[in-house]
Parts: sequence; C-alpha cells; structure tokens
Amino acid sequence: MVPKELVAASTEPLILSLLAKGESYGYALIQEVKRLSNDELKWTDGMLYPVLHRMEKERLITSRWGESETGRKRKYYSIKKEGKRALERQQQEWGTVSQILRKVWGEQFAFAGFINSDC
Amino acid sequence: MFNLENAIVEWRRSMSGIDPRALSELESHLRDALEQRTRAGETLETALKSAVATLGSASQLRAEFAKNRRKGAGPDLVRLGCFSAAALVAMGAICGMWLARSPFERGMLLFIAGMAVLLFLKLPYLLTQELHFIPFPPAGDFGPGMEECFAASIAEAGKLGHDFIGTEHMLLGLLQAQDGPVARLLASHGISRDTVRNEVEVLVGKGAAQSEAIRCTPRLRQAFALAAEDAKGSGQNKVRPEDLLLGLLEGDGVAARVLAHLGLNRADLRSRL
Repeated sequence: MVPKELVAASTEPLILSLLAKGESYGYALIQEVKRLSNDELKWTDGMLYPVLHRMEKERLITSRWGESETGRKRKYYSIKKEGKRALERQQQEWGTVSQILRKVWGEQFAFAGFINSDC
Repeated sequence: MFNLENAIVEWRRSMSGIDPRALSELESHLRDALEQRTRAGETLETALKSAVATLGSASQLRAEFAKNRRKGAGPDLVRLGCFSAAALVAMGAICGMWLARSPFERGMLLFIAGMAVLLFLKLPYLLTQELHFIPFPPAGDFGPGMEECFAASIAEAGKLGHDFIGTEHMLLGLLQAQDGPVARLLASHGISRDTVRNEVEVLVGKGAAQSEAIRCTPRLRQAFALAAEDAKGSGQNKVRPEDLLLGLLEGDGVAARVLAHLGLNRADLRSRL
C-alpha cells in the first residue's frame, strides 16, 4: 500500500496525465486510478474533488456541466494548455527523482553484490 | 421502504457547509457509484451506505475544500494590486518619518500607515467574501412568464405569513400558471398547487409576518443562478420557469424537500424536461 503522503503528491500529475488522454469526470478518474494501480493507490473518493477544484482555479484544467449516458447531470473536466505545460514539467521532475533513486539503489545492489562475491 | 431520493436529501443535509455546486458534483459521484454497485448485485440501501463511506466524512471534505478557499484569496491580479498598494504605503510612511517634525506627527503617521497596510492586506480576503455572495441574475435574463411567477411567489409568501421568499414560495409561484409547463409536468405526477401548499405548511408552518416579503433566501438566489447557468449551458439566454424548477431541485432547499416528500424523483424530472 502506498503511504498517504506519496498518494497526495502524485494526485496532481495523475489527474493531469489522465485528462491529457481526454475529457473525463470524477468518478471515472477514480475508477481508472484504482484499475491502473491494482487498488494499491487508495484515494478517499471525495478528496479528489477539492483537488480538481483547486486545479481549475489554477487554470490547469477546465470544467463544464454535461449529461451522463442516463441523462443525469455530471461535471466533466478537461486539460488546458497551462495544464499540459505543468504536466511536462512534472514528468521531468518525477523522472529525475526516480532516476536518482534507481541510481542509489543500483549502487546499493552493486555494493551488496561486491560483498557477496568477496565472501 | 427505502427511498433513495429521501436518503440522498438526508445525506446532502448531513454535508452542510459545503458549497452546493460542489455538493451537486459529489451527489453525481454517489449516483455513479450506486449504479455500479447495484449492477454488481448490491441492494440500493447497502450500496448507498458504502458509497457514502468511501466518499469521506463531511468534516474531512469541508476541511479540504476550505484549504482551497484560503489559498485562492481573490483573483491573482487583485492580490498583487493590494500587496503593492500596501508596500507603497509602507514606503511612503518611512519617507514621511524624515519629514515629520514632532513625535506626535510621527506617531500619527505610523498609526495611519499601519491601518492602511492592514486594510490593503485584508482586502483580498474581504473581496472573496463578497464574491461568495450569489447575485440575482439580471431581470433581462428572465424569459416570458417569469415576472408573473415571481409576483405570485410574493403573494404566496404573504398568504403563509412569511416575510421572506424561499424556494418553497418560488415553487408555488411557478405553479400559478395552471396550463404552464411546470404545472402540467407536476400534475402528471399527481401534484397540484394545493398539495404543495399543504406540504409547505406542514414542513415550514405558517408565520405571522405583517409586512410583504421583500428579501430572498440565499438558497433561492442560488437556484436562480443555477437555472441561469443551466439555461446558458443549453444554448438559450433566458431563464424559463422550467429551468428554475430544476434549479430549485438542485439544492436541499425546502422546495426540493417538499417534492421529495411527495415522491418526485429528481433525475426522472430532469429527463422529462
């Protein structure tokens, strides 16, 4: 299970990435993340909405009220140009972090291997 | 018997303090979750219970939404303007210290500058408070028949002895045109103006106001704003009585409760309009 701090930090890039693929709505976004992460990433469902609203305020995404397949009211979100730029930036940042971690872990493994071979 | 619409109205009431628009979105989420859970074989009642639980508690959500409000104190430009004004006043005060001759003048200068800086720093927050006030849509936005409905709602408030106009009076006002679309629609559900009036009397009770109602409740203003937004969304710029009916149903105002009590399904009504 991914701890809550990490979940919180990854929420925005996840939303941006999913919306970059096309317009979507809250419930579908949550289901998509559950599916992709095999339920490892636990979102408290309601918590997504304050984040969406904040991102809309920051003009990263935009929303419109539309209708569901059954004619119910539903709020759809889509990404804006600003959001695409933010996504690119965040992709770089996360790439850097994961690269560093991999390097550090690689050294550790190499070190462990060295000790093992020495024995 | 478990009544979904009543249960949802009940849930909305338990989520007080959350902006009605955000609440509508959360409700739409609940209904999505319900559809999926019942398709998987759960009963409506248990499905609603678990969907509400995974959605999070009112206090949790309120806290999260409140964070947004604090972060976005006023539009960026307003904030920038206010901060620069505060900085200018502060600099002016420092320069003024050289020119001031007596300690009294210096004291006065410091006091006035301090107040001005505080005011400017506080202004963006005051402005957002003001922005939260929902204005009434301009009269030009009202379609044919709306004027009469509004006049009728004032009369209804008077009959009930209320000195305010709420969603319940507006609902009665919408029903005044006997052959109007709203009256016909509700009549097809077996709901007449008299049944609504009786229900309002039971739910709210009669008042003893002497004067004519002059003020609208925030919920009614909200309903008007929602109706205006809806009308724009569907490509017309005038609010018709039937648009307002949907706006009235959106929140958990008295009108929505009355119609839920009378067994009217909101989603069903929406699809019929």
